[in-house]
Amino acid sequence: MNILNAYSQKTDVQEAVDELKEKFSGFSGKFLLYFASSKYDHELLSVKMAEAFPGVENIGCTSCGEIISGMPLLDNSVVAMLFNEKAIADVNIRIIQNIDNENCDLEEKFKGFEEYFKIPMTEMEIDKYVGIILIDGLRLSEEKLMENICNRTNVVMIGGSAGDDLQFKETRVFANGISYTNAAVIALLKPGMKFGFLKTQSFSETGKSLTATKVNEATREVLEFDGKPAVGEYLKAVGLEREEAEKLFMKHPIGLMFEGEPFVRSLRIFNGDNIAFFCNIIEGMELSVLEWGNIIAKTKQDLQAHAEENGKIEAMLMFNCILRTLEIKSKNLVDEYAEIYKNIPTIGFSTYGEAFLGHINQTATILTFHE
Amino acid sequence: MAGKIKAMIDKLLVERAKGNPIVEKTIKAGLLMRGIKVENFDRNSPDDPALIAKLTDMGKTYGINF
Repeated sequence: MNILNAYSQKTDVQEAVDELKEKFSGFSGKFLLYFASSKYDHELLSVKMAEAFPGVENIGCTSCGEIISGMPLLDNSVVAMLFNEKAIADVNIRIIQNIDNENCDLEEKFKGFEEYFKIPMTEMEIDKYVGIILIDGLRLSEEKLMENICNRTNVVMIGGSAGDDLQFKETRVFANGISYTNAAVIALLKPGMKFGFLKTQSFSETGKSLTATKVNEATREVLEFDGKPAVGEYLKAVGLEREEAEKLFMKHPIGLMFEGEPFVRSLRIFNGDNIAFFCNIIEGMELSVLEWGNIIAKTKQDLQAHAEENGKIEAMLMFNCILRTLEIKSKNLVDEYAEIYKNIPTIGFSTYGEAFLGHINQTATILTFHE
Repeated sequence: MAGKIKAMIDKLLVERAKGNPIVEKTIKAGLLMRGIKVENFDRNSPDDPALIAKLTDMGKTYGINF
């Protein structure tokens, strides 16, 4: 085994870290990733995790529910994955601070990666490097950050926005013993194993579409669809009254269609005639009105197809939208969902947004490792 | 003026993807999330300065001279 996973539900930080250390004992780690409930003392947790695994590069974040294979969706826990040198041949971690400022220090951090790996970011090959990105989930900064990253490299950055157990007060990202806010951490990996990406969601097109004609990108609000007040046009498209539609946002998001699959944009709230989303919508975007389908069948089908294409999955990281988690819980599908990845060493967390070529919603973005 | 955006997209795809279809696909998806749906542009598409600026940014680090 080159990749191990473990979890702890101990409420005391030291006891939780000790339990993880015990479960990983005898395994020589190169890189550690962990996701923890916001109920833990975040500063203490990051320090103790670094102390427990000296010499192991590590990143993590606070979550909104934790995921580990062999267990149903967890709350109030910490999950971790430890990779040895065969799985991750090399890793370098950078922290991007002040992400709510357009002039954050991304360029300097990318220079750091280039110095470490001795290759320009523009020349790194998509099948040799991959980045794991964890972002403060309450800064509305994901789109701009992901755009700036994708402008500078073809390396895929996959990950999610940190959560805080639906408190919406403070989310944290961790790197090598320090807890950060208003920041993103990137672990740029040079895996020793084959790896792949999977983006799965369970929506289909209704045949109705909307074009955003007036937006406020800063607040992620759409003011007008097709030249008319956004709420009215959305209600017409979904065929619902306002009060009913407000209860069914999760069922009817909208999406940017790409090769038959949507990049989902989820509704957050009706704000007068405007609609606030969990994701940016740009003026001129054509969006399909979506309807949810069978989340279990679609996830299983996508995972199976991915394994057939890329080989047996040895381990995976799952960044699962909190709205998917809420859907799974509301439909009493927790056990069925956990069954899908029961036999694949997995960790993940319920996110405030998924990162994959941009910022998306109601999706699971997954990084897989193969023999 | 028209057609500049189509020309920029084509050049960006060629020079960044270097023939790798997976990279080409990721760039097209990235463009879509920036509000640029590749299929919507042809030689007659008007030269929207905001979109030209976005494409310029995507080529800048790669040294692509549009």
